[in-house]
Amino acid sequence: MSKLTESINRIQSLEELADGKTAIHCIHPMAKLITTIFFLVVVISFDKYSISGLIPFFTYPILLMAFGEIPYRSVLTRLIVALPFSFFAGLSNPFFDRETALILLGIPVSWGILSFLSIILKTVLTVMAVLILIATTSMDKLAYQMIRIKIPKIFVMQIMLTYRYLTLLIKEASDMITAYHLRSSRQKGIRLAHAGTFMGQLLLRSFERAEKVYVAMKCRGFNGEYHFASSERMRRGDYLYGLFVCTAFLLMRGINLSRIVGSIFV
Amino acid sequence: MHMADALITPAVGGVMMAVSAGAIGYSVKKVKEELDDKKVPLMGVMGAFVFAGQMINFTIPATGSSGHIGGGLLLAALLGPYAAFLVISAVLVIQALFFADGGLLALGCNIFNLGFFACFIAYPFIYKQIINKSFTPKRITIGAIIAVIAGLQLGAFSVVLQTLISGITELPFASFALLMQPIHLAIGLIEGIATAAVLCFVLKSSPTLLDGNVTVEGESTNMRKKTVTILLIAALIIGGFVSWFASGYPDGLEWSMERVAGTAELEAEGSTYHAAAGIQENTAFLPDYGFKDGGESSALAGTSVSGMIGGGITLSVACLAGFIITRFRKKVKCNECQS
Amino acid sequence: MIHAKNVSYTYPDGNKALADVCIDISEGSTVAVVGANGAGKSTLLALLVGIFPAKIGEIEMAGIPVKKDKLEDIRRKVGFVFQNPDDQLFMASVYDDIAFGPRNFGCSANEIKEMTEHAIETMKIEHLKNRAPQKLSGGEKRNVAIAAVLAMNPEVLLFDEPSSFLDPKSRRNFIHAMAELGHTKLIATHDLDLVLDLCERVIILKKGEVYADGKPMELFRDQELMEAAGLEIPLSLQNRT
Repeated sequence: MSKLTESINRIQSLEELADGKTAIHCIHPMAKLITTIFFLVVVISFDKYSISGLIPFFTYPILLMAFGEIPYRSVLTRLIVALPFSFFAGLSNPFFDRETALILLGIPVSWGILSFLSIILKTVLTVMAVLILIATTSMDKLAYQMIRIKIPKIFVMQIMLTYRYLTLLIKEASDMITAYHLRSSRQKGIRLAHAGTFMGQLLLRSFERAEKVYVAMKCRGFNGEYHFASSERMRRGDYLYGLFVCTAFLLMRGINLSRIVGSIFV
Repeated sequence: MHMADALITPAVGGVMMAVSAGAIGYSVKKVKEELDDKKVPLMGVMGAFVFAGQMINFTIPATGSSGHIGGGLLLAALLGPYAAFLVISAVLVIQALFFADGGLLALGCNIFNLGFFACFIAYPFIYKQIINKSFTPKRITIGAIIAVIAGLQLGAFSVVLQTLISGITELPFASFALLMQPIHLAIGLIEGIATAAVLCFVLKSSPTLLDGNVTVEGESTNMRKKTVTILLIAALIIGGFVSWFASGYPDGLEWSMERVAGTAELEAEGSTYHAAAGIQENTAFLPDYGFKDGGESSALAGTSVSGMIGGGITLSVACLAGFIITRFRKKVKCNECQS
Repeated sequence: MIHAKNVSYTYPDGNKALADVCIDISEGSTVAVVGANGAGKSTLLALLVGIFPAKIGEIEMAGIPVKKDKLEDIRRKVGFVFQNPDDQLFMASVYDDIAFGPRNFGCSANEIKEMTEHAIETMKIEHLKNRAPQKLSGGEKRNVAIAAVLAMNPEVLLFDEPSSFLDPKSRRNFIHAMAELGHTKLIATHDLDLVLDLCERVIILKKGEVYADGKPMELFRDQELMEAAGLEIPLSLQNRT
């Protein structure tokens, strides 16, 4: 049950953040979508041992969070949830790749540790970038951009409908679980033996709801075709933002800023 | 088993994205051809259903194990494979955006691993063959369980391959596969049972909802049975081969055990302790291995030390800038409020 | 405006919902349909807008016969407000939801904007325009659902249990908003006090038949009739001691 309410809270808090009015929120969603994807590609294009080259890329999420007024805590707590898979997949690296790569302050560091750290950095960066995108851009705006880049309308409509009914169905499921537990206080969780009836009920309710939604669409003249407004145009500022940010990423990809800064001091 | 961005290369992500996009495009075309405008609202709500359903865990009393329904096969059995594939894809898009479950670039991988195999392999070649147009609880149960397990096995294997080809992790093929496949056998079993239970419930309460248009292919029942048998034998052979291959690599097993021990420790002691312990452990291995070449490695170390220090400074400057901006904006806001 | 003659309806499972119902409602009037659960209120509304096909009897809405080939015209003229606004608001933003109808009618971009804005103004929901429907309160959702229907410029409005999901204040606001709309309105409801506030006429259904038809004040005071129809005299009319 807590998992259900927690996920509702998560969606709602991200939605609230996306309602903000900061400069970052005002940037055209297309510009943000493109820069985010570009950021992801550039970050994961680094080779598996890169660490110092990746660090300057933290500038992007940090500045965006600051300008976009996104609380650090909310992004960080979500990061922890997303980390384990990469963490465990990367954990093997120090075991298999034990050859020493360098000696840092007298401690030998193996290639495996470097590549493990690199995986963690990449995970943190990519997860942050996506969370920042969704925390500064509402789902409906993103959906409009999907249509713009020619993702089929039926598919986009489907994403929007799933998103729309998500919280509603989670609430319904959570009510059902509460009702179940109130009448079976001794056992923990729902028995697998009850999975059929439990999920089946939820399924039938969902079918009923879908039927009503369809009728509601029909009543408002729906005839199988989905129409969307043409989305807002990108202004000069949006182009400039996209160009500036992408160029910065390319520069950071080409020039290892950490090493240059470091060489001044060492 | 959601793939993360950090574990793949842009090439792997791009190729899988293209494959999945192609499958989505084809499915959209197929769904449109059905000319059933009821389907899209139904698909939308079903996406939300799967989303909620995957958060409800069912427990097996006295074993401590639990699992939830799988999405792909259940949807394929209710909506047909094309609509089901679109629903799963949409769910994965939302999971990637809001829950950081699987990355945005890895979306293609995830759609392929979790959607494609369930909808386009497990459903038509296993579930449908076993059901064979006679919807009885027994057939549905057997069909759903085998199909879900097969779909998950293929998906897990695909995760292994994608990780391997990307080469970001050092996981050897055998040990990774040996870890992934059995785990997903267990997960698949529970998922399969739950899925079968839901399908049987639907069969009892409103059988018209089951996707009944199983096309007659002029095959005899024998032929179908043969297909299933062949598939099962193939699965066994592959499974056997993988485990034999794995057993030839004691390193892999050793690693698995180390990993399992590591996980247990992590759960017991908390993450910070383990992280510290892990570093200690790892560095302790190092003396066994010699340096490649003294001069080269120290030169590399030199530049890297400057890289580390520089990285640290860059990061601090960025953080400081972020902090100042946040502070400044708060002040501006307060002033605005006062005036 | 609303014209139904000898309408009967039986559900596919054999359940008889309506039997020989005749209704005539003139332009601009506000009429309520009340009755116990299962009396046939929702079925009647569904038939009027062609959600279920009326196989027996004739229905005419705003001068157009409700038949399969005329459904598109009917749906432009008749706005249907669902009992549960969550079923009706399916788009990702309030504005898109309200614009859904006009966009389906193939209007130009300017017309769509005008129709949508007008409906938003009428329901006084400018502040909700860019919100997501799932984040609204019950009353706000109801207002948006009505705006979504008004955006199509209908002549007739049908309401199914409009005061459900509303707290007392939202219910009051809803009644005020309704009183200002000049459309022909048919309201199916259990909320008899709302009927007293809004409707000049009430049709009482009982087991699928028209049991009584008249002024709310008169019918609702008739204890015998009310009890026979499975209803209760509204609190405001009860002489409490």
